[in-house]
Amino acid sequence: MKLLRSLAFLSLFVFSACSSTVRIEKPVVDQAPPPVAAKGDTDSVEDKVTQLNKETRKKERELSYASASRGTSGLERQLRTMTCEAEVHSAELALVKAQTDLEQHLKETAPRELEEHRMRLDQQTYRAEEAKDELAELESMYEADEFAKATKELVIKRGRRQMEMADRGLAIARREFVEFESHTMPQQERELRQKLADAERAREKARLEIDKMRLEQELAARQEDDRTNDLQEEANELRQKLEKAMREATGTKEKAITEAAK
Amino acid sequence: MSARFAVAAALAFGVAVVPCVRGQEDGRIVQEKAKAAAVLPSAADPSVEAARAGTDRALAFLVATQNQDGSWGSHSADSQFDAGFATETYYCFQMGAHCLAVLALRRAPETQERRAALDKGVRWLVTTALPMRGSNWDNDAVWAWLYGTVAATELQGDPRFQSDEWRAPVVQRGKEFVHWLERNQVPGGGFGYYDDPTFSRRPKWATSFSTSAVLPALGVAMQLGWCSDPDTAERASSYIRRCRLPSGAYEYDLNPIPRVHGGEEINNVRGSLGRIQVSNWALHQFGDKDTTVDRIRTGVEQFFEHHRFLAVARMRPVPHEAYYANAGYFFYFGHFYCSQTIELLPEAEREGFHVQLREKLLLTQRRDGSFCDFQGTSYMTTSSTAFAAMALLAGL
Repeated sequence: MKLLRSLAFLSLFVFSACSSTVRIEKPVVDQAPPPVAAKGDTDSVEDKVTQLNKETRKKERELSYASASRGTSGLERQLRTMTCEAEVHSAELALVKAQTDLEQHLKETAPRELEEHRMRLDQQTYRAEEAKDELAELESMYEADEFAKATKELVIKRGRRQMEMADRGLAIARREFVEFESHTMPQQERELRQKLADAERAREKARLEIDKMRLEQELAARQEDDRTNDLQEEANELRQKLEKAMREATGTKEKAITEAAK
Repeated sequence: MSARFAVAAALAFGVAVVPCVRGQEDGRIVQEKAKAAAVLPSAADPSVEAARAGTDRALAFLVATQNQDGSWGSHSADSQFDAGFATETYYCFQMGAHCLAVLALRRAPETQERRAALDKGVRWLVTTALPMRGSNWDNDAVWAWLYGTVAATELQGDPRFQSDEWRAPVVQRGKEFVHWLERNQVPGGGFGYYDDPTFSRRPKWATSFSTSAVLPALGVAMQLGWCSDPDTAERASSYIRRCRLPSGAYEYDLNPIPRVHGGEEINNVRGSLGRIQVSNWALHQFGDKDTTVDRIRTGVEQFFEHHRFLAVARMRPVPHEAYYANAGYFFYFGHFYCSQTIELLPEAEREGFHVQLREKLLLTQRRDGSFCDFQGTSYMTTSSTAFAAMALLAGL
């Protein structure tokens, strides 16, 4: 039984020595230490081999995880890049829209709306004038004779009220126009300019975000590379130590067998 | 206001939805005919003989459809299209149409049947209850008073109605019609059939054509001493004159300052074809010096030049739905007064216009001799037939 265990350990050693140049090593097979021909020195050497074997396996696992993590991090960096680029694109579109809205307002909407309000005011003005003219015409027409005085008064009263309503409507129309020209329109322009400034800031922020993201990604990639390289070196060192310990164990064992044969 | 009066005027003299028969065409067909007038032969014979035959058939229709009591038509709404007026209004329509039928029979060459129908019709006219205003806004009784005045002033001068049996009742009824007209003359001098808020006993809205329809008769009534106010007719004349526009058209109703917006509106000549005739006829008859023969001739020429706008409106069931707000019931009203204005022209000019008028009228006569331009109610059929018969008679 002890002989079988020693042969297995030997074969593992040969395998490990051959594969030491591979960056990602297969974990060392978990096997029992080689048989010791004699107690004392033989036991301490085997213990050392066992310990190194354990450490090597652990380091190789860490190296394997670090390598896998680098793949995931690459995808994450790609996703974040796409997100930041999309944000910059959206911010640029929003900026163009804000610029267009402001230009459209200044060139077309504001002058047209002002003209519409001016027309309404003119219509109201003319309506008031016409109501006054019609009342005067009606009164003049009715002055001709004394016929139907009571009914005429009803018509005249209606005409006076129409004129009064037209005058009051005109007063309101004038106030509405002043409000539109001096308050509503400037307010609309201020709001559009504010939207434009906000859009410019949003685009600048998005651009800074993408710069920051690129620096962070570069740093993270370097850190991951360094970490992997460090693990790789540490694993190599452990393998070398294990190889050396196994050679020592083999020598001790052969020496013990020789002495036993004598 | 124009939209509302549109509905009202229509109802006074109109038509029905009736099957199309030989010699009758709906507005669409007439419009198509108008487009192709240069190449399509006329369906109607415009000769004097054809007109006489058409007149005889129209009068025969009136004789045949007279009610036992001497009236024509119904005093109730004959059509759902007519619903919405005051109950009294349908009686007003009946009496207005009745007066026109009496006038047609009175003007026609006498026959035994026609004379009998005329006597019965006059008897009913002078004995039936006088129509009154139906509601605050609906004063269609004016139509009965208008044509009642026209009929009474003609009858009082007719030798056949000078006996004691007829004279006093005719004069009495004539005075009643004039009395109610005077009470309903609007402050501006015209006569109308609706009122506006604030509603008043004396209404405030009138139209040029309803005022014109009665003006000559009012002049006669004045001479007969039937008017209590010597200025009634002069005020009416003044109202019509103020409705006149530079184009020759007459405003539908008088506005202190005429509102002519341009485009397809009723106060365009094309929307005023009937009003031009009735107003020129009325003012000329009343002695208005501005309504010259030249002005009348121009109006008649305008009537035939733009006749397609009347033709396309005939039988359309919605008032004022045709171009330039023409309504179906403008048709025979306009043709009748056109025949009257033609008679005011020099004799040598008349026949040429009468030929055109006969052709357009006979083209629309139904197989039973009747005419109709709106909705087909009994009062519209009676009034249309009477108008058409009188228009044809004028050229014979």
